[in-house]
Amino acid sequence: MHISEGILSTPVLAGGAVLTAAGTAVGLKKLDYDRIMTVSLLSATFFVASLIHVPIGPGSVHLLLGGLLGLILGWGAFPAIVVALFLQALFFQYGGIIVLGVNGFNIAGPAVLCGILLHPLLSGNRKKQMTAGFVAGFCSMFFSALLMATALFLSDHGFLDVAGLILASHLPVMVIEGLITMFVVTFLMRVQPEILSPGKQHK
Amino acid sequence: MNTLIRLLTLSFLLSSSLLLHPQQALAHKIHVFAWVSGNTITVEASFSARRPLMHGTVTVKDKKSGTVLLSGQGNEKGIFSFPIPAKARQEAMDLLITVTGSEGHQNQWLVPAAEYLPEHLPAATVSEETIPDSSKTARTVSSLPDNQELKQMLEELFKQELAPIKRSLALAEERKPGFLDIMGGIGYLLGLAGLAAWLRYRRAPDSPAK
Repeated sequence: MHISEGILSTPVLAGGAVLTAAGTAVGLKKLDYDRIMTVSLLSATFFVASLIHVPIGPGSVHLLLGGLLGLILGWGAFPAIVVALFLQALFFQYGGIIVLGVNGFNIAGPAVLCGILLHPLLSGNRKKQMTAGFVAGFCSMFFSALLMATALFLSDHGFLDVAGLILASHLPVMVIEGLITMFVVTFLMRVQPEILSPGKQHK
Repeated sequence: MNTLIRLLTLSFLLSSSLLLHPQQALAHKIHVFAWVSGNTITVEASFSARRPLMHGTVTVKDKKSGTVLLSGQGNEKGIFSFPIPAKARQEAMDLLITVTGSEGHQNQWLVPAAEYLPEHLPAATVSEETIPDSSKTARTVSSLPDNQELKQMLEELFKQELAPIKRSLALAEERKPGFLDIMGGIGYLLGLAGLAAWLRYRRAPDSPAK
């Protein structure tokens, strides 16, 4: 899910940087100071989750947990993911500093969108909560893969075949991610619902 | 506070379960390695030591000018071989080999001219004393290959013998994220949170925290 340095064209890199800067700014502005520790811990979870690889399909795919961050943090997931991506580039050489903008938007954008759209379902019954968890995990990765294919397409790397390949290779991990997000969400709703703050609207 | 402790436990469990299965912690980037044997350069690309990058696009460029000399596609084992272009030999080009995967992964490996051009190797110094006195060894000299031939034979032999060693050296260089990287990253993130909290509460020391 991390695009390497030196692949994308300059306009794509610039566009990604602008979008990510804007998203991070909004996220920081909306961030409730009382939730800083939650943001940081979930950022750490995201940082580590990318190391868990799912050895299925032709590529090399790993967990993201973007949907979980989006559900819990709303806009706050944006800075959480961007900071974690920056550290991944530094420590693991995943992605890179110059492509941070594009990778950040590819991963954080869908995470925030899915989180905000699905959050209202959490105040429903157990079935609705499970649905919210699964769909958040599945869809955030689906749209991230789609954005990644778009970024490659805009840099002249062909679209249909690449998009097909990326989506196909990420399909198993999307399902796994959906299941994990579903279990974590239902578990948290049972033991510590205030983390997900159901009923309140994500700012 | 309770929330914090539970979240901490959750992330600790996640990271420790990960550390217990280091074989799953494969780097998510591609590794490129190329070695010279005779007139051929073989390029190998993999996600890790065990998962080859299938059908990656290989581009060979002159490092100085950036001219593309040739390009091709790796096989399903991630291997691509090509004969060294005559132009590269003539101009003693350092070859920059780039392998691009279909999913936006890319990495490079440099083959310096010295690796495939014997004349660019540090010149072998043959001191006068080591040359055997022709009169003493006249008997055997005729049956031995001369210096130049011997040198070439040895070079070929070394290249063949050293290729697998070079390969495993390159694989050993492959740096997997270790315990320190993971803990360091988590430490940074917690530190950032502390910094943000400090900045927030330093601004208004008298007013009660919200």
